[in-house]
Amino acid sequence: MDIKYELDKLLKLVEKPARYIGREMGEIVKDKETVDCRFCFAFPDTYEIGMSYMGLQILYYVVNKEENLSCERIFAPGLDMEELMRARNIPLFTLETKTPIAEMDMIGFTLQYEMSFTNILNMLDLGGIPLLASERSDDMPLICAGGPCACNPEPLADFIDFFMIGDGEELLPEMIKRWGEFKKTGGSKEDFLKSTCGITGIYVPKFYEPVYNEDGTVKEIKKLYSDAPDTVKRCIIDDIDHAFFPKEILVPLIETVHDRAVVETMRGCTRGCRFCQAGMIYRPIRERSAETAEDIALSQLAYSGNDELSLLSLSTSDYSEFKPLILRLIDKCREENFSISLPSLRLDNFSFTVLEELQEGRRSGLTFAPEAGTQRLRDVINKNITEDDIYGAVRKALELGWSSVKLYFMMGLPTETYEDLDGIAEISKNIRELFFEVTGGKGAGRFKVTASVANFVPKPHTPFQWEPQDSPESFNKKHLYLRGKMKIKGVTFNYHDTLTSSYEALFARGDRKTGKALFAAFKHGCKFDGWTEHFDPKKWQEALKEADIDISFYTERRRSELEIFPWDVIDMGVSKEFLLREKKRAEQALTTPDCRYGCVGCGISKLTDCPFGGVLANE
Amino acid sequence: MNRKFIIFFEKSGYIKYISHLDMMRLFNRVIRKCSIKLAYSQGFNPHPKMSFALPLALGYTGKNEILEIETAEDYKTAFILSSLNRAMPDGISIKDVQEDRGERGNKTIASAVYAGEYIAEIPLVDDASAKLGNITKKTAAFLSQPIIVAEKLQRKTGKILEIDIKPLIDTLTAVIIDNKFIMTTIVAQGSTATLSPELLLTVFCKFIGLDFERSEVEMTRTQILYH
Ligand code: SF4
Repeated sequence: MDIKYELDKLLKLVEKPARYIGREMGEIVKDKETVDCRFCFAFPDTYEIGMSYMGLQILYYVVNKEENLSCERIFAPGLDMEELMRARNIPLFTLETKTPIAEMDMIGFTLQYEMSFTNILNMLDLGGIPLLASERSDDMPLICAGGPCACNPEPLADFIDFFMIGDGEELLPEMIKRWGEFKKTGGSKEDFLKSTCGITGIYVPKFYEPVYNEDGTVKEIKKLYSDAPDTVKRCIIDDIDHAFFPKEILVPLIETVHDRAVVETMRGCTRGCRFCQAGMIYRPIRERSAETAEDIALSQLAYSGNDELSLLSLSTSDYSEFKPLILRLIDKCREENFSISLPSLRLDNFSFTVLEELQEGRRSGLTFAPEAGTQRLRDVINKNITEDDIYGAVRKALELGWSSVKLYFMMGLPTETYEDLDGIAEISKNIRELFFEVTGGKGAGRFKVTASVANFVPKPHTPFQWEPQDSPESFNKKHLYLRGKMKIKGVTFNYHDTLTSSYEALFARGDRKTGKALFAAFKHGCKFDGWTEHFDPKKWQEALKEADIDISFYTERRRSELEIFPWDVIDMGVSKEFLLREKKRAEQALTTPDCRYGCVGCGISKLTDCPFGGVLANE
Repeated sequence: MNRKFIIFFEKSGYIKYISHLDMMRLFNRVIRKCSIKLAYSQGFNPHPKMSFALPLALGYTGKNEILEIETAEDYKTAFILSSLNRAMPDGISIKDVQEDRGERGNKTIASAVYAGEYIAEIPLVDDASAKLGNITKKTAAFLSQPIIVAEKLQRKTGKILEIDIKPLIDTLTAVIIDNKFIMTTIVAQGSTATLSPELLLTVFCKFIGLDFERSEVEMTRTQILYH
């Protein structure tokens, strides 16, 4: 089907038509006749969000650099575009060649956020592809998914043919290549999926079947194909210094969320914050050398003409070569006139020097994530930051003339009391007071403190995977309480919508039964649920009812230590024993030190070599 | 030494769907990528000295668009032409680069623009062309009206105003070729008086009795005219 003529008409009617055209610098368009397997990278949110995601850039080039493979892109179309496409029977098409996605060989969704799950179903539907894997014939593309949310793939198990768990830059091209070769032999999807069972990181949901207890918990996970692995081990790239990272990037023609060159300096984190899934599922720490990182950064800047560079990792200053790298980059940025942004920087003396150098008078905000309002609760979550750290850094920043402080907290953490909430107000107030102490009140009108409070969502593969989430009523009560407490002059208080957090929690720890709710929600027209303005609680309630799902069973229930979890079939490397040990230490408000300075036995060393130890793990 | 250059380029294909603002960002980025140093304006918020002679509406193809730049260093026109062409995404092609040696005094082309030439194409359904009759005659009749009234929405008040657009039309012809209705026109554009070719198309097609959907119109600007 040639949709180009019809498309041209649509583009004249929609908002931001450039979302649908491709043609960016860096785009790779291959003739379908010259490739063995055509892959479609699917980002289940808008173009502007998807194009700001570094993973897309990596995978796009890692696939396209193979001569006989191609990678094209799709995003979730805006509502106006979707309406027109449906009305005029135009199927979802790739940006590169405007090919209807049903004609592609393989489609891979990236799972960054639970609330984008309905968009996945909607995109398949827009492509004329049956949603249920069991209803898709062999001539339909193979549908796969990967990314952080794949660590509990169960809510999507009915819709996806196979999941890729872990690092994708080697696994994805490998799978595409295999499928291309397999297709040539005329083999069936079923046989192909069977043939992939030995590959580290591949989870084929149809080869497993959860059996449930009467109370709804998992009794056992039955294997339906004997060669399928008992647990699927995460795919880990040991040496990221030599792993592929793009020097050329796709440069959007329209403004996106982030428009900058990005280089990943480090994967993994050793701090061990107990609520943080990323800190658990990306272990162990793997670093890119400063030379490689610099080379990538400068090449990307030269290629794209970007004037901003960002270093990417879970904790910028933990990167062992941070100092030499940033000093060299600072020299370069003077010469070549680009700016550098450093997310998740720890504010020690060196960082201040760096920030002062980088900002030269244009001081933006200082950012802290204490996550909890009291030392007790910070110990529970193992967030290693003290009030002295915060006030010390704020004092220093004020002396240097900074004029705003941003604070990030979480609400509803395990063991939280109203005292902990008072602590959030306390810290905000103290920073205000510190300002008057340091500056004598000069410029008080300009000085701003912003405190943002997110709702805690217990995530699988973390020490809090057993914990209940606050009920929506409890969240609302706490929000109201804190709103009263936060009526402080010069302090802005933001908090997150309650209901979307409950649904996020539902799917974070959902089982296959929750997939029925997703399906029903899609039928009711739910999409873009992560956007408060699109989230429709009424439709969702209907969907839950139809799927016979009691949301509190998933969100508010405290799980027993013996419970088999739906995601136990996925082995992320960090052991359940370690997580349980951490959960128990949390209950006693005992901290666990950063394992960079001594292994604490997380278990990852069973899957790979950990540069920092792993001794304890084998005990 | 600062230099001024005039860059002539084409904008066609899918890239016609990026806005004027995006075009600014794109050129800025590509010029930077080519290591061409632009001059910056003085003042509190310096910005690169670069401007399009006449913004092109989103969705229009531009055959002969004009960008004026001022560089902080000396460059050969051939260098600018070839390096920009190499770096530009599909759909933007640089046709010519000329050095502006001050022939118009210190005036920019942007301030000297007085008109634009446009071609509007509308595909016709099978019997439409027969129904339309003699287009040439109808065009002549259209143009010989004492005044040509168009309705224009006044942004500020939200009121619909009636204006006479006749003085703003320089030339207008229409033909049907290959079952396509093609209107070619030169209309006033610039700082003193401006007529949108789409507004003219609407009024004209109403006069000759041609119904069309906005999304079917292919608009191309073939020329920017300046003193
Ligand atoms: S094996 Fe030990 S040192 Fe390595 S990440 Fe796990 S706890 Fe930390």
